[in-house]
Amino acid sequence: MEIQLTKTKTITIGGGASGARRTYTDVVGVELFNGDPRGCPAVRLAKKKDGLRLVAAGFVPPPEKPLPGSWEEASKKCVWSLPSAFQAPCAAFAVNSPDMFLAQTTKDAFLSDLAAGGHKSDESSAPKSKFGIRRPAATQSQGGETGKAAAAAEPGVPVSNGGMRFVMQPMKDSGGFVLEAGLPEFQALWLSRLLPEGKRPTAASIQLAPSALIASVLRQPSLGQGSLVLFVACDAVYIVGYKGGDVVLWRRCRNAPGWTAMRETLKKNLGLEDDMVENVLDDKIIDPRSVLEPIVAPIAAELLVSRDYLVGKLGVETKTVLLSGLSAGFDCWKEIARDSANLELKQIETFDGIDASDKALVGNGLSTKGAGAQAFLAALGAAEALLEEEGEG
Amino acid sequence: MNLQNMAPNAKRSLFISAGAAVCACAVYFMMVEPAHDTIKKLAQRYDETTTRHNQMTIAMTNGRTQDARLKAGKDKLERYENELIVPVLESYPMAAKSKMDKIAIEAGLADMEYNSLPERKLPVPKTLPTQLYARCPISLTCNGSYQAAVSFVRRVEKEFPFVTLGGITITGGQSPERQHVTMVLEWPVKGAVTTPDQKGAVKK
Amino acid sequence: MKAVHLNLLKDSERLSSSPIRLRVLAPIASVLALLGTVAWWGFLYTRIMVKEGQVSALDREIASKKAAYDAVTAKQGEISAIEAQVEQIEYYLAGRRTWGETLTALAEKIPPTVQLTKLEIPEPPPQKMVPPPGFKGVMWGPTEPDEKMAFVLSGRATGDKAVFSMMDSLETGIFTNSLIIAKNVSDEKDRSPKVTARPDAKSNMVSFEIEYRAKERSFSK
Repeated sequence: MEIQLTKTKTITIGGGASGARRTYTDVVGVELFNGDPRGCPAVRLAKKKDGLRLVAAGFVPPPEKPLPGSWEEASKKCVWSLPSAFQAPCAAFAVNSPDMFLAQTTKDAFLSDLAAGGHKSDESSAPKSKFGIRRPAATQSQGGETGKAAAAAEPGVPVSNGGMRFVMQPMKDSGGFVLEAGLPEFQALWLSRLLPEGKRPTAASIQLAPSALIASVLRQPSLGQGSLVLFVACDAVYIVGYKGGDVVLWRRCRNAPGWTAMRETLKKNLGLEDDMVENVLDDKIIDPRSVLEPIVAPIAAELLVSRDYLVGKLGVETKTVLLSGLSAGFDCWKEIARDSANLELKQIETFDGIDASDKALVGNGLSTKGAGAQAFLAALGAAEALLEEEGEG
Repeated sequence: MNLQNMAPNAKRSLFISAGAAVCACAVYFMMVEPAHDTIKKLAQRYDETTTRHNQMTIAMTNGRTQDARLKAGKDKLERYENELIVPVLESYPMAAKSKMDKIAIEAGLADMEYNSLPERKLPVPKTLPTQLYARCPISLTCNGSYQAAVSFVRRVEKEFPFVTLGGITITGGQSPERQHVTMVLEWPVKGAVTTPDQKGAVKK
Repeated sequence: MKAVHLNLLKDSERLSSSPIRLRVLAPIASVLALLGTVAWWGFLYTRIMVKEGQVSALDREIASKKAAYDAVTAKQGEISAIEAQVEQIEYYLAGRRTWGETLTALAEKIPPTVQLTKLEIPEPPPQKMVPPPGFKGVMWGPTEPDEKMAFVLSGRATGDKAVFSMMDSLETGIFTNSLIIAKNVSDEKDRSPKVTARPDAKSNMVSFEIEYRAKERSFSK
């Protein structure tokens, strides 16, 4: 049980000194600030004996304020509440931030990043206690506290330094690589207070949307022993390799835009209205190949490189590449991939491997199958990552 | 938990909780517990008083028949006490003589002589009477025939229903008409007087 | 499989979703406990008042009836005293024995061959006034309420037959009201009659003494 005595002090009774990692059974994952006009995708999952069950899925109104871009903006308190269908005890955020970073790197490189204060350190003066949370001393002076920050760099334990917050997880069987994620400290603090205390849910996890995607396919039946998955996110395309369910490769496709940019390109080049894009791609009224090929072919080439890496370095054989997150135009992508790189693409259903029915959907025009469900990937992944975290207490 | 580092509202909350808890304990130990004891004692006193009241009620209900019982008891006692031997000139033998001589002479006995014998106690009832009674044996020696002695005994037993023949010895004399007779005649008599606080041996 | 969970939220930043905060709940619970205790005391106090009222009412009623009750008690005491006196006198009456008829009948039962020299009903021995074990009061009455009696005939007869003939006649009729006939008992003390007979040195007669146990005088109801 947690008891908040002061604004800066919360003690836990019955748990360890660092606060017990609990086992979660009912979690809502929410993707924030992805630019979706429908709202923030939210997925509520419950852990059952025989797997996960979809309790609710839909779009929730976003917070009143946007993600802050500075300490000053972050000091303005924003309180957000979720609709009742999504009021699980705990929430897992999958946040999209222009200042975030996610990379596959080595532990030494991570520690260097940590010492340097990350990719983007904010040295401007920051309000000290406007959040009511005591900022770690490491954010105020970089040099002297570097050793401490480095020593605190345990896998899965977030560390603050130089205005950035980092966390690292080792990638099993990857040849010693780690996945490193980072977010500006003020954004992390702001997000931690976004959901108020004393009301369901409260934040139990803040993940980056790209890292949340990694967990979104773990229950897919087609994942198999070795898989290469292509995630088409709103602002980027990611290639993730899995071996025996563990992540062994993560990379962002260079020069590949995200789905938002692809849509804009399609709209512009094909002269489409905004609401016609998906229809055109799916119904093939107009052949979008000419517009898509310059986008998809380089991605397919990078897929080839990644596949070769998996086979050569990690011994992971994979014949089919799973595609996730594509709202429309899969057939065209499949053709281009086959033609340009002799790759077989297979689109996966978002909620495959999970007990999901359309009755759990909140809102009109939604479906647990097909392209419409792809919007929930990051939220699903965030919730799954929190649920699958092994508890200690 | 460091009080100095505690937020004001948390401190206030802690003090209120502690204060209220202490007051609750104080109320319990100083007021509730003594009240419990008082109730227990009152309940006991109530039970005792109720029992006493019930006893009084029952006694007063039974008291309606008391007068009749008292009269009956007094009458009986009077009848019995009329049969007791009362000393004449502080002498029981004198009293016996005054009652027996005429009968003895009429029966044919002569030379009557009366003597007192040691008083014999009577068993006492469970309720120790204030006035105890005893047995007053009087010896009567005389001369006469067996028939005279028997005739005397029969007449005494008939006319004095409270007199008992406690013993008799008839021995041969100079002639059958003049045998030596010794009798012990017993009367009930008033004995000791007890006081309410004295305890007596209970009759088995 | 374990998901890669890159969680940027620190444990110290986690908030509780429970609407019940201890710093709100604890004072409320404590104050409620205090109020509850006070209410409990109030309830007990009310019970005390009620009980005291009941006891006072009973006391008043007892006080109002005291004089009459004392009169009843006194009268009851008087009755008990009188009845105790009557009872003791009746003990005496219970122990009364009459011998007139027995002595009258005896004269008719003496055969001509028997001459009585003595007839005796002995006086009882002195009373024992031994207190029972552990008794500390005054011994107002005898230790034993019953007195044994005997009936002894002494005389001379022409022979044993005459004596036994006389004895046979004393075992019937009115004599059984007074005399105890117990010939076949193992304890000689309890045998009745006991006969002692011996020839008279001076004549051809037999001197005898027959002792009967007579019915006890029992001074009890």
